[in-house]
Amino acid sequence: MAKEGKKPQKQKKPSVPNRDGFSRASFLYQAAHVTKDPEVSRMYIRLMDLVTKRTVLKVSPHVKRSICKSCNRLQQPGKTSMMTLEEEGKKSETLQIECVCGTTKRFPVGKNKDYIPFVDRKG
Amino acid sequence: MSLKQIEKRRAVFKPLLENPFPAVEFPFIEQELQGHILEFLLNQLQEVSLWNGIKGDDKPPKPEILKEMTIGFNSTVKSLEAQARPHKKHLEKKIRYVFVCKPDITPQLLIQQFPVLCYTASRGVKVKLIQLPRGSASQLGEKLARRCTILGMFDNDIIPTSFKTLLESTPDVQVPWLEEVKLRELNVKMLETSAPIKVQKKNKVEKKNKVEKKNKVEKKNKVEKKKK
Repeated sequence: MAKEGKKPQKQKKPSVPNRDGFSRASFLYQAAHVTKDPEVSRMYIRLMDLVTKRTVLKVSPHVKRSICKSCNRLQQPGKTSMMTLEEEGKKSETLQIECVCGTTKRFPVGKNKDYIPFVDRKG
Repeated sequence: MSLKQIEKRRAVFKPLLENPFPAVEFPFIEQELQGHILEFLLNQLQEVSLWNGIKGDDKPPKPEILKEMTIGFNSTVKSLEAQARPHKKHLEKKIRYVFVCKPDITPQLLIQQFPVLCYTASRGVKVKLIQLPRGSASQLGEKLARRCTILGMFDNDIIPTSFKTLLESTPDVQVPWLEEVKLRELNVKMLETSAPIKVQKKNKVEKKNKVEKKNKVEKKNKVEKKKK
């Protein structure tokens, strides 16, 4: 019985290549959340970004969306980022997330209401 | 792409660094309780719908409940953000309850940040995030005479105490990774994609080469035979 239970797990989880790089990036991302100094947090995020680039890791869009591209700040709603919805209810509805530094991320929400990012798609 | 080419692709797993923190969910409220809350809310807004119906110069002043509410995405988020900002002067009104018609909102990206926003905004007074059942957006829209999926309500004395106790019985927003500091496990997602099979092509090339070599050898042999 135990063997039968184990087999499908092995098939589902193939070994992760470059595990060191992944765990380092993951650690830095978490450390950035924990530190109370915002400048240190930015430094960690920058380092994480560099690590993922150097070791050529794919990073999920959910992680990328939580980081400002230009100042490497963590985007915490209410603290470091502001949300506004432009043209509410129309087809050109866009969600705008603005960082403290002034850079914005824009999501054309109204264009395709059923859009799911490729990571969350099933099958 | 022809059918043959599709067949030749194989499944490949690509590792992807996923967020180590689990996604924050909306506080769970049972369907029945959601329905009760919606009923109470619609009762409160009865006055507003009557006020909206009156036209002309002798329009009575705004119902008081409207002053205690923020209607729509932008105004609610704005006041929540003002509450969440760390070095802010004392605010006169603080949002206490946020009503979200969760099943009626697409895409979910719009309201993904709401639990964390409510958590950061609840300094001193806890902000309750309340999800409403499917179809509530149209009902609210009828009462308010405008499209509305998100409502904020300030801490007030206008609403009856029975409604307040009902609202207070809902669970608080919880963000586990902001409350408890600990190293989370590495979260690597294996993304399933497809890639062309190159091995077969190589074989073909090799076969071709072999055939060519054979042909060459045969030709040579023939030439040599002729010479002889």
